[in-house]
Amino acid sequence: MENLYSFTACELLDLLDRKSVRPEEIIDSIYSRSQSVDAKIKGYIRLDRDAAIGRASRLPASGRLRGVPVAIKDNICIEGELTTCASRILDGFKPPYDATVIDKLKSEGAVIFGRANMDEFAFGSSCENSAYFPTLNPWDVSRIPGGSSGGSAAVVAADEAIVALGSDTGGSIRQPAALCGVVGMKPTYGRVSRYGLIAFASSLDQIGPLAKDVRDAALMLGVIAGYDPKDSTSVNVPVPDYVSFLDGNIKGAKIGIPTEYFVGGLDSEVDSAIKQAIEVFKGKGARVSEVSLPHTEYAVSVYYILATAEASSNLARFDGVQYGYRCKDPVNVLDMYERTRGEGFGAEAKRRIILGTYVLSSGYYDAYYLKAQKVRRLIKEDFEKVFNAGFDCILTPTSPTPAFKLGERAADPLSMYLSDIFTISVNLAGVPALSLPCGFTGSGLPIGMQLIGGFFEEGKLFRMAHAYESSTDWHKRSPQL
Amino acid sequence: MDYEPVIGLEVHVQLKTSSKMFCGCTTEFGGSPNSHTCPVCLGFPGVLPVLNKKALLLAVRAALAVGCRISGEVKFHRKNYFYPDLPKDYQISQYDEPLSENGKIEIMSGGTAKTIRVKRVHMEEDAGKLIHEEGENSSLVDFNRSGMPLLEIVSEPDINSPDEAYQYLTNLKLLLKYLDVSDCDMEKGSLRCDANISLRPKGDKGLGTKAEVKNMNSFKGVKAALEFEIGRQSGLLDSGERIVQETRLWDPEKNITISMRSKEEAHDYRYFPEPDLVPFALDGNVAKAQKASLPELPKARKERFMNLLGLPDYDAEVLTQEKENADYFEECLKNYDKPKTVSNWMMGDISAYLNSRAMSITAIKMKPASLAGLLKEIDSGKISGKMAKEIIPEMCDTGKEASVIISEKGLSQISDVSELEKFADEAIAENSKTVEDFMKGKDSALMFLVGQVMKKTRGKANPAMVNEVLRKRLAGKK
Amino acid sequence: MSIKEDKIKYVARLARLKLTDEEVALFARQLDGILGYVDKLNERLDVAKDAVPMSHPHAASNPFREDEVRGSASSETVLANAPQKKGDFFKVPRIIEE
Repeated sequence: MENLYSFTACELLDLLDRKSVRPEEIIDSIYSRSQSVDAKIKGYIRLDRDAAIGRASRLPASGRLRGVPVAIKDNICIEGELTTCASRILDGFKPPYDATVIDKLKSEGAVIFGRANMDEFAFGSSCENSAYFPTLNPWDVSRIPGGSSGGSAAVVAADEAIVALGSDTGGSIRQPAALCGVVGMKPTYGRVSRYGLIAFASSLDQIGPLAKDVRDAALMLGVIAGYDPKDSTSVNVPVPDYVSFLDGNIKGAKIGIPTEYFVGGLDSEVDSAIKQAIEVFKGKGARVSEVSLPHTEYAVSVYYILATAEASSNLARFDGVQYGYRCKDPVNVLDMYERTRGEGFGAEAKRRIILGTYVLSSGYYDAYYLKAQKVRRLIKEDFEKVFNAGFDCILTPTSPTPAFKLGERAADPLSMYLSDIFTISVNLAGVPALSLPCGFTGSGLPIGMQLIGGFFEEGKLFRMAHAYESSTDWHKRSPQL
Repeated sequence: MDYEPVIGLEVHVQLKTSSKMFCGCTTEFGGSPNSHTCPVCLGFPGVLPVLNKKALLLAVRAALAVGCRISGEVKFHRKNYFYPDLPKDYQISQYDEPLSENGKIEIMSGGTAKTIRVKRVHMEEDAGKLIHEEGENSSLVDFNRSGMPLLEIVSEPDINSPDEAYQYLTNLKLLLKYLDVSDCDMEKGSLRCDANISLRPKGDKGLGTKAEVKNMNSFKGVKAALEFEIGRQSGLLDSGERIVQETRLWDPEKNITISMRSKEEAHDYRYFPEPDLVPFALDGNVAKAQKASLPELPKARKERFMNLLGLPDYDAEVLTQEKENADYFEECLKNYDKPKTVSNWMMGDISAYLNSRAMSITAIKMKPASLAGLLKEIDSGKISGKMAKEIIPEMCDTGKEASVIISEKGLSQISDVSELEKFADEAIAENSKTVEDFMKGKDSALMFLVGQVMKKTRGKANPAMVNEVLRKRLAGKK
Repeated sequence: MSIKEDKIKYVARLARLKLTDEEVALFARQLDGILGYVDKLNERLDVAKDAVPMSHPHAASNPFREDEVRGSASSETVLANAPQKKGDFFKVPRIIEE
């Protein structure tokens, strides 16, 4: 069969079910697609056809994803396979264990296919901070794909992957999904196990799917979600059948539009795409009204204090003792630590370690960390108030601008940090959110909108997103490669 | 000048669990290097801690036993510092809201009771072990100990002499062993102690500059190190010198403390709440259940032994020094209700047996009920106390009942009156001179006759009965 | 050298990061900008005065492990990634007094 790489996971499962294709054929199709386009996109760090074919030929007898290839962000551990967080410091590291999500994918018959590029340790919004190479936006290769799950978003957008896993600490799934024109879901904190996800900021990180449409995202989340006794922060709430929420019925659903998100800095084309999307929802019977998330203006500050503080501690273990990179000929332990880390980490990782160490250091804790934790509470309460008032979701732009040029913000970290301004609050509150395509700029760049839900209301988000998607065809467009 | 030492102790004990604090690796002592490790206790990327329930319950138990107030929520913090034995380069510990605070331990000081306040009791994970290679430019790391569950017990600086420190440690250890919270084995590192000590002129209320002393490997070592420090610090003060705040290591070979000499980096541990562990709710019921399950503590037990069982202070003290001894004692009383007799035998022959073999009471084969059986045999007159002394080592060695050994060895004492009368008559007939002496009123002559009967029975006669029988027969001759 | 660079050096030492002079200068400048932005938080200190600090999105649910020995990894597995080892030990350069 032709062009199997352009199918969705659900379409492929249907073909597999009817024995119209074999899993190995899908691998071959997607592998040859990658061979022809990835030189332009550079979405994959590692791609091993033979290994994937081998796995495809040894699948369990049944499974919800049986035969579907899944690209994996390079910060999710796979037993015996290089897992480096796109960092030099994890040179050669092969984890002796699978992340829980990998376990689940394998037992449902998914074929682990390729390691997607990312900003080093998920630090970034552009994929330029990879120690390997930057990934480029399939819609315009002079632009960034977003980040940090830029590789995952780009390979799905470029039809080099059917679906992918990413991780989202402050928007790292949703922002690249928006910039690459695909669907990306950041689940409720605790919905998906973090065991085996190499931590950036433990109280914010979640793994989630990137997919070509809402149905695939719903299917994927159903597979990877669930309580994990190995992750004390995962939550024991039953996992519903997310696909069953895709009934198209959103009549009477209440959508909130936060006034704080439509202020200066919002690109006018993004603004008008969101306004049109609101009209689509109204046309399907949803009730739309303004809501307030008054502490939004503090979110970026709170985030960069908490996230970097946690990261500075999480990244301490990369010290050259047990695994990964060690500097040449250290004269003593201190020298080993300082040079290993100085040589092993890239600039953004160092910047964040310095910032995180600074805000936790003696004399600064109360002014920064403690204060940030208090404001974090207020940000969470902002969301709770809206959902307690009966809103089913909150609609915002995912990113204030479409994909920017490679190098455009690299020299100014603050401007880079501000590109997460619409996605960060969601991680601080712990609520779920997804991004889906809602239009294109005049120059053909994708625009994404974000739907935010209450705790563990991923099903509602999928229903809303699917209803919108069914009335539009943005998700059907493909980049010319 | 006369100085008063001000001492605070920080004790770490390993909680008695089978698996580590946050993973399923064994807590067994030893093992080849890094054989008791897994990705979690090695802090590999992506792994997460899951708290061992028993570790928390044991910690609560210990905290309750020293009278601490238990926090309603158990929060862990990360203590950040780099060291090659610390796999994650942070330690999961507790910080501003520890498990429990404000407890106390009673000690005796100069014959009067004294309370040492316990500032806090909290949980943390242990680090690995570094081995410095002699003559090599390198060190080796073994992470077997990494992630062992520890309890840190911090005293207020209420201790004013090395002897009080020794007592505090002894009582704390006794308590923790009683509770079955820890083995408190210093040799295996399951109990470690650091001391802070400063001096102040007697009568002063202020605090002097303190030194932290580490590396003591026994309670006696703690005492000796503190004694050394008092000498060192008072010498410095007397000659007008300043005490430097520093960490000093105890050298047990040379019996001195040595400055670590390091220009110590300012401690900036950057504590913050451990994001991988959601705080644990400890509702009143958990504490209540633990409180209810607390065994009787040594002090209360000693008092009960004195007040209800009528033991002298000394006996009660000795028996309650080890929980196992007190348990054995009470178990024996279930079958034999003369507490003082049991106490005498335990502190006498049984203790001698244990000491000669450096064993603890739990290691002997003689069950408490068997000891009760032996004592009953003495009471019934079947054997003598002297015979019992001979039997005890065999009972301890083999676990055989006294009655079995008695019949195997034909040790049974002759208590049959008619048989004894036969031997008494023989003795009277053979020793007319002695009988005459007795008749004349020389009472001690009777002892000779008793001896003769004992000889004839090869020691098997019951001496009290022989005495009685002889008197009766001799009275008949008057 | 400005005070800010001193602070960067102090923090870099705490974090065991060797930085070049250029990096120190760059980070000092950039952190100044970032912290300037972050200080918005402190300009309105009253905002969160009474809020309870939030470390986790969800409240306690006591996810304990029972005290069971699950077995350890083989030393081969444990040491497979080691940059340097000796026998079954990880090997590191000597620790000197700092």
